[in-house]
Amino acid sequence: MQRWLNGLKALIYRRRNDQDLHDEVSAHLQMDAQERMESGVPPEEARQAARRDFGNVLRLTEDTRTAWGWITFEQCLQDLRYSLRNLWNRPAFTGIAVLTLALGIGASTTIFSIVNAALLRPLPYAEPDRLVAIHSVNQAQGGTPSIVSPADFREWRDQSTSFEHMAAYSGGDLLPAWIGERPETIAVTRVTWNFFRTFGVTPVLGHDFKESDESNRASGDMNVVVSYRLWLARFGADPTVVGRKIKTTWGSVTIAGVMPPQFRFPDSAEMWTPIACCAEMTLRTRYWRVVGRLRAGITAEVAQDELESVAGQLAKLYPKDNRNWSVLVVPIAQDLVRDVRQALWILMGAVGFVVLIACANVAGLMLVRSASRRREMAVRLALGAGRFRLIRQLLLEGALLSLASAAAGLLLARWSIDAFFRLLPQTSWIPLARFRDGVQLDAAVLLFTIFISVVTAVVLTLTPAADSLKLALAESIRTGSKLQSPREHRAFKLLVVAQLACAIVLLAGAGLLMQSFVRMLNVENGYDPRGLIIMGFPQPAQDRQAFIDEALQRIKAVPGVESAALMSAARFGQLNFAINIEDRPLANGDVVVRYSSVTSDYFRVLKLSVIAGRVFDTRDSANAPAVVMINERLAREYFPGQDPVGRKIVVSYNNRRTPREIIGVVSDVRQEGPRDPVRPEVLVHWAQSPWIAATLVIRATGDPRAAQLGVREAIWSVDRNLPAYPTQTIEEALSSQVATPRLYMILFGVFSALAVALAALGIYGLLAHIVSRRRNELAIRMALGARRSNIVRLIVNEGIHLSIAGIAFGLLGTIALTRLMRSLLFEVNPTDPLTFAGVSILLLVVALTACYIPARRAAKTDPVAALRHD
Amino acid sequence: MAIKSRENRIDVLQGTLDMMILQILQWGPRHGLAIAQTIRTRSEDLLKIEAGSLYPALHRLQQQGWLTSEWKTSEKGQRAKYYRLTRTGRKQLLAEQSKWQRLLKAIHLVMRPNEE
Repeated sequence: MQRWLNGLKALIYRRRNDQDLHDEVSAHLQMDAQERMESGVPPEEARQAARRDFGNVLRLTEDTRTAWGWITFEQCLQDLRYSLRNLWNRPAFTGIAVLTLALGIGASTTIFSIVNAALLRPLPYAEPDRLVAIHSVNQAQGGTPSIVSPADFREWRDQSTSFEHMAAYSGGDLLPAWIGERPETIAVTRVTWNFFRTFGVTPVLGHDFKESDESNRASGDMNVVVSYRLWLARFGADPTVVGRKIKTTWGSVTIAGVMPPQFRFPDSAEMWTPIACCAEMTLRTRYWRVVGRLRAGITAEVAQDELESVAGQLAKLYPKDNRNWSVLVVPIAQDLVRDVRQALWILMGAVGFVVLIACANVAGLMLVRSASRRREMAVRLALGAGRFRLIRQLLLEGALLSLASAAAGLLLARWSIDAFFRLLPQTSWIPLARFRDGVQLDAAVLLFTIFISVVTAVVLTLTPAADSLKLALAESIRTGSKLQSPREHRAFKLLVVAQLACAIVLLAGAGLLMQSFVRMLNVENGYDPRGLIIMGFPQPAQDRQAFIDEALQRIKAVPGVESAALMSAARFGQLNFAINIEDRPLANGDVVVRYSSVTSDYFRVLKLSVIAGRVFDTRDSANAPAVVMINERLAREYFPGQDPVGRKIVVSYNNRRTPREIIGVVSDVRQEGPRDPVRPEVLVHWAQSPWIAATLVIRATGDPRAAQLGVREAIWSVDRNLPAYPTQTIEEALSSQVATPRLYMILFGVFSALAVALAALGIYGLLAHIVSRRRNELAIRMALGARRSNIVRLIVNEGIHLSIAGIAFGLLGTIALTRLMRSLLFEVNPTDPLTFAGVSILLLVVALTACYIPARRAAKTDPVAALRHD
Repeated sequence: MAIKSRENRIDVLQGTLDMMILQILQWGPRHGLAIAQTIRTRSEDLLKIEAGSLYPALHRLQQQGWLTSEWKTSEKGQRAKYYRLTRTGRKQLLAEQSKWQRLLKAIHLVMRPNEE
């Protein structure tokens, strides 16, 4: 370090140092001449003698400069020129090396930039470390995080001391509003007044909610806060928007503030409105989400302990609703990426293997090159070049290679980040898609790329450096490049085995994901998805039932619509309600099951089969006895070996417990999509229990788009003032549900294809090298009568041994590593023997093909020419 | 680093010039010419140091931190660059001296005329 510093100083002060040396030399000459003159020598002669005695001034200057250290720099420049020339003169080597490394660096930079955006970058909130998400958990039902009841929220908030703020929100409402001429729908999240304060974010325009806003909601004049996006898109970034009134189906609302662009919580929110404080706060139905800001110095664990004891008391006080219910406090950064965290680290690991293979590959190339450069190195050593300088020169070559690759890799990453997100549909509820805007090649990413390239440069340099410099120098010169070095071959073979081993790990991962994906596509959803359309269903403020009856009539008459029904959520069975069995209460109290309110045609639209009893019909009107249908799963779980029809279920809602008679059992629907199992579900008749929001589900024949337009017109023909709601076909919805697994599969596929290609290149390179080294031996064998097939077998055998070793080591690693993928797999065992066997055979075939080419070339050698050539 | 005497050439052992410079500077700061002259007179004209060896050596020793230098005016009123031994330079000199003594002793033992 000191040397370099001196060198740097010397470079900067070079002129000054030179001047100083010049002065010193003149002083020396002058004093010497003076002394000579004093002893009686004539002046001219004295000066000449002094100069003669002094010797060569130029040479002295050169030597002294070396002492200053700046020579190191000049040498570096020399080495740089030399390295550049070296790389330039071997375009094939340089090209392959740069391409290989660029692929590795590009792939790892892409994945890292996503990891960076999703997992590493701090959230855009004030002191995000103190923000937590608070969930209810039911210990009797596996302890998965669940949503929260308003009553629980109130108790937690009032009885805990760990929090500076605790806020609740409930999202997903679509509010029809008249901003322009036509009604539009705005995605609304209802929040407690301190919601924004909890995040520590203030509006860019206007102000956020005050405590009084919660009670104002009931009085009809409601303050709302809008998102930056909505402000841009619907209000044209109007700076005077604060105070503006908007007409909605909830009455008129006033815009109080505009949030900054980076505040998007929850992701879908376009508008935040205050919850209705007092009435809603007593409800025991779970439909809220809760966030909290911890007091300074309080950890999530402390808050967890405190809330757990509160929850324990609540369970005792309200056994019906709260027995077995506890609480879970999770730092919000973790909560937001719960689903993707593990997947991203797995992808990062996978991409690490690609980088390793790329490095091993290029190291192999360098090894071959260093073997052919051994004579050059030996000559330079003999001529007096220091070992350090030779290593430095190799290091420089490695650095140049990885620098070029890093530049190419960054370009590749820019392009592939776009490609990555193009593989995901633009839906905010896909956990990865929401990081799209955050993914940039920022300083952290560049630092990562630089780090990777430095590591690569060192690895690339040290492999051949160790090899070529350890060798006895004299021996190298004597035997020259024809030296058959077992050590060099062993190192090369090890590299190839390592590449094959890494490739098999990735291949196995890709194979498992592919199988999962195929299984996921083939999952029985319980309904026929073809031609199904779901559509938000707008309702007027008054006379809803009459409107629904009329609208459904007209919708069914639209050409291309086979049947239509209403359901209570945008997807099947999305609500959660607590139930019990009336005549034989469950031992552990109420259980939470899925809940749907549907019109009677629902079963016909979805083509569900009735297992027992009947479906809803006109008998089950609002005034008739309360009835319910259950799905097969619920029947099997809670009425095992019994006939549920005629029994009664108690459904809790809004602190009321309504007994309902079971009239039928219907076949199962996978409520959460293909990845999740069927949950127990109760279905109630819309006429008896309408839900505040409605979704239309239609079975269309022919073009779904035409049917959609027809349906929209049909609704407007009943009420011209209703807004258009978003529409989606079930097939689109399903495909976006498998979009994330599909993305993982594609990425693993790309990585493993890269890995296999590189490993094949590696084994090909090794055998080609061996063949060229053994040309004499092979020629002699042929001259002595070996047949071409013998030669081919000789070479291919070498490849087979290596491939089998690589695959065997790789499989050991795979068994250890694919376990970590368990959460990404669907109905596939992480150590599925069939997948392992399949990918092993695939890799073996590829490797043998790569071996065959050099083997054939070896067999085609003309022995006479080969021997004469030497 | 060939050092010539008047009568015949003596190849001085590598590194001894540095040691001699340090040795001479322990008696006080001196400029390059004075150092060369001191070596010559103390060796009774057997060693004559060329400027081409002396100055690189001086600059090297300065880089090592064993010497410092400054421009001063000599007794005769000429400006010259004076070199001075630093504390680490003094330590280095002690180390070199003891190494040299041991080396001399060893060579002397090997070169003694009688065979045992």
